[in-house]
Amino acid sequence: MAEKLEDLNLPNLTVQKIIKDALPDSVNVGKDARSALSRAASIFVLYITSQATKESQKVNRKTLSGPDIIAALEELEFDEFVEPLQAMLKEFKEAKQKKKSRKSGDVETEENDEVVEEEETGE
Amino acid sequence: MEEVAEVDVEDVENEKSQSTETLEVVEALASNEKPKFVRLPLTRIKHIMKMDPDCSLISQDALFLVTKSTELFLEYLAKESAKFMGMGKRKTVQKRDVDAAIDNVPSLCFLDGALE
Repeated sequence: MAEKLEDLNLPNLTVQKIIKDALPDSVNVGKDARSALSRAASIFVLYITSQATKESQKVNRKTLSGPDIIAALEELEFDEFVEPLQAMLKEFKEAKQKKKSRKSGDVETEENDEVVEEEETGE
Repeated sequence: MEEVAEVDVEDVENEKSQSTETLEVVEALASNEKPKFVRLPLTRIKHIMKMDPDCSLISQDALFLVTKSTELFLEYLAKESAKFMGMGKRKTVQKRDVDAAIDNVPSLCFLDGALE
């Protein structure tokens, strides 16, 4: 099941919002630039994954962990992302903890979060 | 004519990313929805990661970090590209600006030739 990179593009609208929010309101982004930025982001995912996988392989671990990603970012000269990311990760975890402790009283299950917890086996 | 876009972009850089995050959390909590910590779809990112044959299992933290760093990367690349538009006095970022950013910023060299 060979999926081409083109089949796994990121959603255009979301990419557009992220770009627009990053730039001043007076600035527009051409369609060709948007497309290029979106493709670049997909390539970035592969780039980080590849580097992070090397990190985990060094210690014979089969699961990519958070620290592997951080190490990969530093290795690939994206250290400026590390601090904000760690702060965001902390918030994300805290929010999940809060939800979990509330859950014991609630009937509501939050499927969306659970899906991510699943560790799929690679093929 | 207004000053170069470059100055504006750098000024709002920190401000925007922080206030956008806080605003999203506040809005979400106010409307009783779960806060959106990521904008890009985690599942799609996971599928892209799985294209790497050496990548098998991915922890939740790792997936979150990759997704979030991709968002940061998009912002970063957009801003870098916009700098080159400013020099040409245009107001629309075009593909050639993205190319220029790739040529000029060392950490972007992995994209060299990849966007053709």
